[in-house]
Amino acid sequence: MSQTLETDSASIIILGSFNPAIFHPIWFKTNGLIKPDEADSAKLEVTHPAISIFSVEWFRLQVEQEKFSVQTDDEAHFELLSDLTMGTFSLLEHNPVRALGMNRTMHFKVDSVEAWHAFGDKIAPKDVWHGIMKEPGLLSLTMQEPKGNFENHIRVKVEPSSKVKPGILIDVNNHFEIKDNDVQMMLSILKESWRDVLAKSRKIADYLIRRE
Amino acid sequence: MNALDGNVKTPPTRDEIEISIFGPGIGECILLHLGDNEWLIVDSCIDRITRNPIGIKYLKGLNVNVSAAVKLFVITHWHDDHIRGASTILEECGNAHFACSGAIRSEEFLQFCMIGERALMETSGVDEFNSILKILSSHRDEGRPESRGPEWAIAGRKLLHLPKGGRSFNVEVHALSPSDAAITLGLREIGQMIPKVRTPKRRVISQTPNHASVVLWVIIEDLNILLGSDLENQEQNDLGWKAVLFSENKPSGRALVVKIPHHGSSDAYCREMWYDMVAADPIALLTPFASGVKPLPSDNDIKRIKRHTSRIYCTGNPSGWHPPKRDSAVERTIREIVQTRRLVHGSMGHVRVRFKAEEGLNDPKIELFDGAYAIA
Amino acid sequence: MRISTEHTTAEQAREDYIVVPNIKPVAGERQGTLVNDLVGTSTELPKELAEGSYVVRIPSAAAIPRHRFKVLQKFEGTVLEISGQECRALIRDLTSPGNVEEVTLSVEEISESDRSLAVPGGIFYWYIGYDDHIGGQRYRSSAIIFRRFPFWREKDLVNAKKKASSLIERLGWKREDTTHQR
Repeated sequence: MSQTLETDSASIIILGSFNPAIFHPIWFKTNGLIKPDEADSAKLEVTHPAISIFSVEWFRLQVEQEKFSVQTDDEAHFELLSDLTMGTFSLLEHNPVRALGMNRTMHFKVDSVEAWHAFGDKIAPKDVWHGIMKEPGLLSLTMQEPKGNFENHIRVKVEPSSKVKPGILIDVNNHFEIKDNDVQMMLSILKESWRDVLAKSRKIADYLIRRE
Repeated sequence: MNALDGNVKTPPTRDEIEISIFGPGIGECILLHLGDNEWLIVDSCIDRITRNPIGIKYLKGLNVNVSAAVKLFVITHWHDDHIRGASTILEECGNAHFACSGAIRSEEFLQFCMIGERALMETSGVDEFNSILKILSSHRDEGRPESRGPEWAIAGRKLLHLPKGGRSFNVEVHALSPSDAAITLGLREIGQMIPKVRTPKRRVISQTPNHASVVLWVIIEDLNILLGSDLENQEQNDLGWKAVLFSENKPSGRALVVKIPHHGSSDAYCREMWYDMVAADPIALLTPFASGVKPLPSDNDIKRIKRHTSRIYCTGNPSGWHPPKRDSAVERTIREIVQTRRLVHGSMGHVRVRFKAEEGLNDPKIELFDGAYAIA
Repeated sequence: MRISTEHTTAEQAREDYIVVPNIKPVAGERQGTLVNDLVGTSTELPKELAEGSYVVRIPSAAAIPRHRFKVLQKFEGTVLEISGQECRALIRDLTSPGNVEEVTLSVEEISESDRSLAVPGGIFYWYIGYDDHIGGQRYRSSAIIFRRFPFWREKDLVNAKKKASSLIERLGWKREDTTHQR
């Protein structure tokens, strides 16, 4: 099976307690976190105490009262996504946070529907299901590897791609629990791990997609 | 010869003195065998692939139990190129006294380190020192003896004394710098590096001249070794090499082996140092500095050093280093964009000098590894 | 369907809604007071469901990006010196770690919006690769992008000073006579 990486995105998700209203392009510009031009040309979807969403050329930000999420599809900005997040939370150092997720989501195009099915059969053998289902198909598979104390883990999700046909989505999530709203701890994890997480996520995807 | 092969792993005998110097183009590390499998480590640099400190890698390659055998670890100044991997050395060499320049014994320096903790970017010198501070704090919490450090290296202070007793040699290690005036100047410079409000976060670029630098004088029996660190010349008599030469603590005797200060640069050349403190035709060791407007040592630097000795050994020659070959599209793009380009972190060259104390330097064994070379 | 807040996976909502309770902003009204003196306008607000609540439709992210930058080589650079139109920098290879080079390049290679950050100590990423557009066109591409961090605040410096004071006590680094000899 030959495969090509069609889309590759990275995202950082933080669970906690937020005031979405402050996450406005002007706030980011004022604090030196984005270029003035980026702030001025930002596409502002909604700014509201319950939810804020805006995007600039290279990232999309969405903040709700319990979730902060920033995402980019541009590999040349993967490292900068971490800078943006670290910069944001270095200013919001007292903001309650309880979990950090570092994610890489990859959509691979495969060369044929047959190859696509073969991959699904490899990753999720259907023998067990034939006794109870006609033509069982893989909808989604998630595997998890605990890290350390089981609160932190890596989750790898494999699904048919909704963006690329025939294609496979591989999503790798690195999840960390943050104790005591320790923003500094979260910033350390981001600073020290982000690049390794990106590299390891790609290795995981390559390993899976290339399995014969 | 590859540093992992062959007789590089042969340890020195109990009564053999060894000076090993490592230098990859940025940074350096010096190891001294003080006899009886006891060691001194000065500064630290890392293997660029494994990111581990070369001093530890080398000693473990000799089957040295670093946690017991290293007696003193000195950081001669806190800049990036002298300190990478130092926290690992401190952690692994649990029995070693740890010394660093008295010029950093200040709230300003700690403030600078604490600011670095919040900088969000990797800054290897400050990050490394913050790791060192964490280790020192935990040692305190564990109630380890105070003598574990840091001990403050200042001009005239003896940092280590291993009396002969049952040993092969009497060993002393003295700091010849920084002087009081250098400490004051060093503190002022640190103060100036503390950022101002509303300024952008940036990396600290190594400052020269380095006033806080620690020069060491090592005495093994009646043999002297001068480790010149990065100390430079200054106009005033209470700074730089003049401060060492005019000091009432200037050692008597002359060094048979000298680690040339500051990569042989003209700024660090002190004629009086060579004539007053160094024996005729000593063994001179140096590391290159491949970054900067002019890489060091230059041809003129070498000419100058040759006036004093014919035995000069350098851990590497950056003019022989080439950037790695990358994808052709990448290479084309780099060529289109950059005007000049050179590799500054090359192979970890290693010069090793061994000799028996009673024989002096009549017939030392000098070995060159991984690109180290004799300057003819 | 509520957007999941249980986990940190990057679940992309296609069409999703949240119910916004107890807040009744008026469509078109300046939200200055709600966003702490910043100016922002929302999209056209939805219809009222019940007294004091709204349903807000979350716009989905774009299905496929219009172009994809395939990175072949990444460097992280630190500016050493700016001299006229020339920038001297140390670049660290992030693709094959271990290689460090010193380069000079023209300041013109730096975006105008980043030039204020191109000072000694300024840090940038340099990416080289292929930019593949949705129509099939490929461009060989290079981008130098400076890293942005918040400016130093007074409280950062004050906190650092406090931490330093407490650390100096804890480590026993009190200054004594510097001419002390053993």
